[in-house]
Amino acid sequence: MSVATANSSGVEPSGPKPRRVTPGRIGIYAFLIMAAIFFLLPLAVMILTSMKSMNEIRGGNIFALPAQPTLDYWIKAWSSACTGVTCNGLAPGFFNSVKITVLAVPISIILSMINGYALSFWRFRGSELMFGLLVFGAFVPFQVLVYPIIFGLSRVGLFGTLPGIVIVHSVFGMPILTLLFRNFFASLPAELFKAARVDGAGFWRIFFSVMLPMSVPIAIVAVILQVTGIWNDFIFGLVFAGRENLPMTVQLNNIVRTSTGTVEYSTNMAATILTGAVPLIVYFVSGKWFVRGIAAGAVKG
Amino acid sequence: MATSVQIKDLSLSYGTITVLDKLNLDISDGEFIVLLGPSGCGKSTLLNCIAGLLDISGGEVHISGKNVTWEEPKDRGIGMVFQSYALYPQMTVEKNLSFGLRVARMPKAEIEARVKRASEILQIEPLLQRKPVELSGGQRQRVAIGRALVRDVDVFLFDEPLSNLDAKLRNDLRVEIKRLHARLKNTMIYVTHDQIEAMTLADRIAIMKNGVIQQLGDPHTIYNKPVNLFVAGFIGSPSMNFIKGDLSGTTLSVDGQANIPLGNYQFANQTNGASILGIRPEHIVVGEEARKMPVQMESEIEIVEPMGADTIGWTKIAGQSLTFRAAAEVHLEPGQKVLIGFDPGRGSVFNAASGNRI
Amino acid sequence: MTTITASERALSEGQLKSRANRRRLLSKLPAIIGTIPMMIVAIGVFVIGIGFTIVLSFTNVKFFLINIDFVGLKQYDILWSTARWVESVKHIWFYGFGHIALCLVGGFLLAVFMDQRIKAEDAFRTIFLYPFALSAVITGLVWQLMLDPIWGLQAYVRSLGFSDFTFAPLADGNTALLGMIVASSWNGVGVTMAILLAGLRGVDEEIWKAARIDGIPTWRTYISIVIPMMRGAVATALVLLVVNVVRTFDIVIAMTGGGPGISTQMPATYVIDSINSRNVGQGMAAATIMLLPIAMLILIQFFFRWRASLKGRTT
Repeated sequence: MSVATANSSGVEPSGPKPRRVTPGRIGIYAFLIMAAIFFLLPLAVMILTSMKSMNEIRGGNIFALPAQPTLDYWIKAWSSACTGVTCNGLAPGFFNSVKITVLAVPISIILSMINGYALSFWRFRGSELMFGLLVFGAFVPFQVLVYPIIFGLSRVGLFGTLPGIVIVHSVFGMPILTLLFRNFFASLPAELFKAARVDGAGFWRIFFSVMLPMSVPIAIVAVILQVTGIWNDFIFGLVFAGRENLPMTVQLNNIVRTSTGTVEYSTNMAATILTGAVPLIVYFVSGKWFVRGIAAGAVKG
Repeated sequence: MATSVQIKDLSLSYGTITVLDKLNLDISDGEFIVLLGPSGCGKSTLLNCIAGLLDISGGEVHISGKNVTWEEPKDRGIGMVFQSYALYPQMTVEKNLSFGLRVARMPKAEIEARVKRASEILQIEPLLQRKPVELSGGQRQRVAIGRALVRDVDVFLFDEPLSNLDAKLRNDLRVEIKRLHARLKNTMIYVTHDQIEAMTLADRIAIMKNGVIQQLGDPHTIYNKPVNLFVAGFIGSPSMNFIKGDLSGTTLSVDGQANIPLGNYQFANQTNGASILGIRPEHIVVGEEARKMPVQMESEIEIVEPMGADTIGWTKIAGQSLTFRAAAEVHLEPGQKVLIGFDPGRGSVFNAASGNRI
Repeated sequence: MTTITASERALSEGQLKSRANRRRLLSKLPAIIGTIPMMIVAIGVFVIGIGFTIVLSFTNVKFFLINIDFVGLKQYDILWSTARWVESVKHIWFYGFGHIALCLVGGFLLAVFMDQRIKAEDAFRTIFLYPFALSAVITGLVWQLMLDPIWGLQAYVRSLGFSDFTFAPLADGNTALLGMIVASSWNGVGVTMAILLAGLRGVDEEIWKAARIDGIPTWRTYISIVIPMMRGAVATALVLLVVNVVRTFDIVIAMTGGGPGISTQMPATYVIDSINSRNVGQGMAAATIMLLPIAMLILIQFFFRWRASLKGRTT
């Protein structure tokens, strides 16, 4: 205010322009903060509810802090909640998800890395067509392919097995990862590849000695993309994993669907948090890499 | 002449990093001034401060007698041309030129008249209905200049306008900008890292380094009387020869191997001690001509670079390498012994410690 | 003599050429071997799989591939006379428009506000984007609680004294889809924002400077200059959203199970339920219909490429 009066009274403007807090500026922050609250509320509700007893929830305020915070429901969700007939909680689902992820992530990434490398530096007749078909596959709704894959996997005896679900994840991860790696390798200078060729290195030698060490950053992006993608998958696990290997998301849904009578939201929310913990941790730890993965995946999608 | 742009104690810093520190510059009405320097010297930053695109941390900017330190760019009476042209891609050339005027709700007839005048001056009338993607680089830059022109302002700012063009176009457009200045007689402030552009266009050049103006003067003075080693080395191609030695009185002793008499050099403030003699390659002569020079010496040619119009020779005196420019007809060969000579009066002498001209 | 040498030379040149060809093929061989998995996936899974689905949609296959009868378009006749399918198609249009519009508008507003040199940009970005890291199942479950009339927002607002407040979209078949749109947009707005923000940041900074010199107000610069320059980012976001909408399945299962009644059934749930109820032929007909929007997208893309190639340059 004082600056404004000084100015109107004829003092020469000098130095930095005085910053006035404009209504527009306030509006921007107000909007962003309101949006942030909207985005955070469900997470808050999830956490708060999981720590309250059912009696307390009945009080009607889902935003209230728990009067007597308890982790009982977390323990129940983990080890003794009923998923259909059995009552072993989420733990088996967690370990199934770990198994599936640990196997499917490296397989899909290595295959896609080779694809991206070959498509960037070793084009052969038909390679672009293959790539086009592969990317087309990324757009096809899974439901279109569900039955043919059930049929195919059954024929080789892998339907409803761990290898079966790993194969399915590797297949459906391939289009986006190949795109990711192809764009990455295409951004490298072609001279690098030519120099290695002149030095007499072949396909695999160049891949392992030159390209692989350079693709660590993009591989991290790919790992993040795949870990969260596979962990969050529901439909593939539901259809292809078989009763023995149901992933955590499917178990979570089973816990929620199993509850009889009144819905036991405390257990449900505890189970939800436990299931979401892995991708959330990956997200908060990886931060910018995660965003980069989205950008990279989206650029030419 | 009246002052057009005046910069008083202008400072700019980001946190602890100071980009510009208490910079002063007065530009007269109708003057063409070039801000020249290597990348990162603060020349573009200074231009953006004048334009009001950057908020300064201290000082004042006056344009056409008005203190515009706190004004918005549009109210400063400036037009600006950018390196990337910055044309609005989905608008035709005509829309590009008139957009600012339409937003300012200028009467239609006035807009038309201004667009017509600008497109005539720049000879872009046939392009008016095209979009920027359909234009060549040179045509785009003309349109960008046109956008500054229609604003009918006192001061034009150019931010490396020719850097994205190839060499031939750059020469053509350079001449055109010069012609434009001769016709319009506006004040123009022009940022570049290209010394040829600076030498050919400027009334005065301001050479900048690390946010400080090293020397401000007309091209002739900058070229012939550089105030310090930086300016001397930055201007001129091939660059000035620097001969290190020890000055005592009017004699420069080079490693005890040779003594160069600087008898007809006009010292400003002679200081004995470690000094550097700067001689431009074209001020060194070879062969019979050299006999007329105050300083003469035998030397052996190392490398010859024929440039077509002239020839650059490389040699050594007292172990320090020296380049000279000879007429294309002069026959030179590596290994050949030649007599070279120069007039120290046309050179520059710098104190080695401070780097300043003495 | 001379003729012989000439023919000899011709022969040896031919030999050399074929040898060079062979060597080139040999050097490419590892690349072909290395991409065999890709070819299997592209052709073996995607092309043959889709073909398989389309062929089965003309049969009466129940579950196992025995006693196959080709029945022509009968499955499609049944499909379009089944109320649940017709409703599902209406739902996906409604849900799709709602979800995409909300994501695009919300995402764009957030992106523009984020672009105003705000403080704590990273914190805001983290908050807007984290739902995307969560699966649709989790999204569905937590919003189911939020929208539950007895436990959720409605109960909370009523406890504040507004005892007539009603907000229970999932309980009513007419509004259940709206509830689902809110939940899925909570999940998807952040990504849309991230893509659009990248598009905004991709605009040449000198364009902004030029607009300031020209005295164009900020809002006008966005509308007249920047948004038209962002066609690529908008198209990317739109394609991603469309693809995800067509697939919508997980969130339905987690949030409503398709109810109340059939009010939130989707084509994807129809396909899966048909397979589960041993009516594969019917499911495959539905799946084939689901291919249409994707085919449309690809046709549109080809159209734009074709138009660009006509112009002789890409804009």
